[in-house]
Amino acid sequence: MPKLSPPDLNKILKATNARWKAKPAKKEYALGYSPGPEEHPLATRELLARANHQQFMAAAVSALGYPLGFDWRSAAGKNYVTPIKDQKQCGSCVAFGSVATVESNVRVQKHQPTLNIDLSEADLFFCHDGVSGGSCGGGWNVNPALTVFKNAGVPDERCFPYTDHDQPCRRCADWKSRATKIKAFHAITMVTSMKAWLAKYGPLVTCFTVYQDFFSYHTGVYHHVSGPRRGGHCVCCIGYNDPGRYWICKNSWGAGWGDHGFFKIAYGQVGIDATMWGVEI
Amino acid sequence: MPDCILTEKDNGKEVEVPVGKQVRIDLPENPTTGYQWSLSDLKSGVLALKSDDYAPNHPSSMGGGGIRQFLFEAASPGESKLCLKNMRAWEGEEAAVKTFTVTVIVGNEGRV
Repeated sequence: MPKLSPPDLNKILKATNARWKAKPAKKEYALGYSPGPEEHPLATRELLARANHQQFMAAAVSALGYPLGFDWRSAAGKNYVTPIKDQKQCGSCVAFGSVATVESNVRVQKHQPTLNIDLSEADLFFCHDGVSGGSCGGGWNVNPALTVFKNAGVPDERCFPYTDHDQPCRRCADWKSRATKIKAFHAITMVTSMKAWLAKYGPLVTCFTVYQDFFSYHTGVYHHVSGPRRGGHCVCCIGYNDPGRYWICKNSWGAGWGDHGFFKIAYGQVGIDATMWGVEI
Repeated sequence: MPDCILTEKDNGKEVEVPVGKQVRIDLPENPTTGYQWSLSDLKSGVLALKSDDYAPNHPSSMGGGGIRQFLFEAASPGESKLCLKNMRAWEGEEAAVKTFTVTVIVGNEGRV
């Protein structure tokens, strides 16, 4: 086999997203280890190492209480995440993040990944039943939004279809009988608890700071690189990946943004895992 | 403080400023929706962009908007038509939801 030059090797490493880089050697060294008669041959050692690693990973899962990765779009081969929506010009992300979270949790709780559920962001944002509400220019917060979900519930989209401007509450007359309620909600501030909750019960609501470079995200794991702060934003967190050290989130800027409307974001970045909210259906 | 501050209600107007003076355009923006104002046409030489800032109105709320401020300096005599579009960068100019235009005529100092 011809020798691979460091530049060629680096091209391959880059193309395969390898976790190391090559540089030219000043000289070549002889390798000094060959297994003795009492030792396993090299190939066996490799097999043993892989098996050890798998055993360690399995032990880590049971010790941590949650799997090393989870994605509600492919949980045991099923997609529990409802379609990507678009908040358009209104600062109603709290309603979109909360509704997306409740919709998926209902599917999970009922074990029905294809359940036809589409709740009304307009009802949550513009009716908000006795709880202080938000506005398109002023935004809102997660606690009051989930309080509405708990106290009054939110009917289906057809009861009050979404349009992206401030407006009075114009819901259907029978909204109460069409409302989906949650039993309770919990603010979770420990990252291990966020993962355990997410993998066991369902997606979470989360908020973070949008920086200028976030608008340009397309694929990969987002972390802030450049540009100033642009505001607070809420989304639904649908998964995580420990080996890759990222969360998987569902945005509400339409399917044309990001990775078909979704994004991966590195652990600890821009406030994404400061607090997440779990819901009980 | 700029010599001339323009807001949404000045859309389509024509303003005159002397060389060396500053013009600021303040427009409501909510970047948490993905929509931002984008400067799509700036005739070079007449106006110089000095700063481009955003100030949130509701920093403690999620989804709150604010004011986008473009500050220009009248650099040399001439006419410049400023065109700003409120759009999502990934959707392109053709999908802009608002347009703000203003024509700035820069005259020699003392003659405008």
